[in-house]
Amino acid sequence: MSAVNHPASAELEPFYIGPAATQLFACYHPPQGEAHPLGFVLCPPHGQESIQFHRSLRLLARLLSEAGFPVLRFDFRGCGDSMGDHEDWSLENWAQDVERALQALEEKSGVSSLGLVGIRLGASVALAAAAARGGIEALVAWDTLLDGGEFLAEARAQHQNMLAHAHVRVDMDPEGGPRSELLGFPLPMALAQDLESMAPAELQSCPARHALVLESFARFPQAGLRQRLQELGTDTALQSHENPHLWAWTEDFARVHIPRKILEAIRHWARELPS
Amino acid sequence: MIERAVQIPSGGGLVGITTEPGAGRDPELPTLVFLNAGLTHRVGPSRLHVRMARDLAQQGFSSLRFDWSGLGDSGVRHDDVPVGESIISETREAMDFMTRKTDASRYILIGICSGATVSFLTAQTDQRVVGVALINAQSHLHGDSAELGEALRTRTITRHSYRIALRSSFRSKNWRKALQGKISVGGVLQSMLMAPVRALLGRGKGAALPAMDPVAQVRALRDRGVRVLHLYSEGDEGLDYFQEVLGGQGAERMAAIGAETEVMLGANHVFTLLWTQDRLTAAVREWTRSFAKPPAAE
Repeated sequence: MSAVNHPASAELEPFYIGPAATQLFACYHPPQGEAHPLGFVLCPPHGQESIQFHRSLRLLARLLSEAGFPVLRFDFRGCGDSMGDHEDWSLENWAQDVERALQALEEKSGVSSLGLVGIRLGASVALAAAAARGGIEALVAWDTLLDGGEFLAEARAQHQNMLAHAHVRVDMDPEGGPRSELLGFPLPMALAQDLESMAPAELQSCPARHALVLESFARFPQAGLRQRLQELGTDTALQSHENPHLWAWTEDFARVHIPRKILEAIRHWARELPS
Repeated sequence: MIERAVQIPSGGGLVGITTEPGAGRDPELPTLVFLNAGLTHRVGPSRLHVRMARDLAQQGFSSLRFDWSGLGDSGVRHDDVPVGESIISETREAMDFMTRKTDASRYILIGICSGATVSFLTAQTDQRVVGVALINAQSHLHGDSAELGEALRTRTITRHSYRIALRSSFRSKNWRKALQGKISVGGVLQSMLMAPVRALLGRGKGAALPAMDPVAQVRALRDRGVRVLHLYSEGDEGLDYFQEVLGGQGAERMAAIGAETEVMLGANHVFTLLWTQDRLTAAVREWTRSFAKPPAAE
């Protein structure tokens, strides 16, 4: 039955980065056809957004690899299949993870230049990591969290909405008082403090030569980020693709948004980059 | 604890993660296999499968979590095998893979929602399965009659509306919301009233249920020595299915044939609140721990 099947190894290679105790789960998507010298690391969003967006990230990796770009997806520490738990969550740790993922992509593919695609909190982390290390050729920042406090307020509002509408009872928690949690995931104090002080629009050094700033949620406008990147010398484009439900929590497993147009826009932008 | 990424030569090419205790696999213990919950990839809702796999590794259990073809990181099938068959054959081939890699010979299948249903169906056909943890399972006890399935669907929705509105621990919260105009009372009443009206008029498929024996397959599993756990969230519709097919005495009827049932009050379908995740993890831990004991004398 399976003689003509199981071709996954041609499309992707799942593996772990680093030693067992701190390993990060990754999927390498080799380029299809002629390989481009530029490769991309995809930095996922956080929490429930990462669960709901997994399918879209996989599709984005496929679209880019079909266009000849080597691509590496990975899970931040304490997330997905990577080692650790919420106690490991911090912007600093995750910026280190981006660096590990970039090194892994270089080792896997031999690319001569590096790109990053970050989504939501993943974009904030990617920007910080790129600005700190330098040398990033291309960067896509999709609905970057420009104001951590605003993000937390929005997430807490969604959580309250969930509490009001889902069949859940906070008061039946045997440990008593309300826990610090957001839509199925803990919200550790350290991460909340990290987020409150986060300000990607105040970057002090150029994160990449070329950047695409994507905005799909009008309540979090991205024009300020484009302006800052341009001030820092990054060749920056801004695209808006309204998709207000993309980051909305849903209890329904079957309701997975695939923003195909945005994924295609990223591929198109990457293809048009000057060589 | 050691985790490894694996590719399983089945279907579209399956991607999974094995979790082993730090001391290695205990050959006396069955290996656990986590199945996809709906379209969610192998980490499970709120990363619950990862959490449970690592918790169970602390108890000495090895496990595999993987994606069926077309889900998560697994490839897409290019044949015409119906998905209802392929997910069972891929689950069995995942066990074949683990047997080749680790010499495991006994398995416990764990699934939430659709993963629970496939766990149950796979256990029917695979003698290596010694336990199934069915979390918010639905549509698994009545056989494969489409007519019966449709009738039960109608009755399940009606029962769910009644129970949530009138008998669940959510009832005061829901009526408060209704009074505040935050939910549509009309929609709830329509769901509660129209289905039985249609049934009384003989127009709906729910007018009469064809004969069925909902415990037959569970009894067959128990006769084979397979342990069956039904675990339901109070807010889940699967609980209404369970009560509908078993006549409201589901837990007692299951207990009579040696199967276990637990209902978690205050929990929703995907265990969104952290305390419900803690409870679920503890419940699965307690249930699997008993597999380590020597079998009781008959």
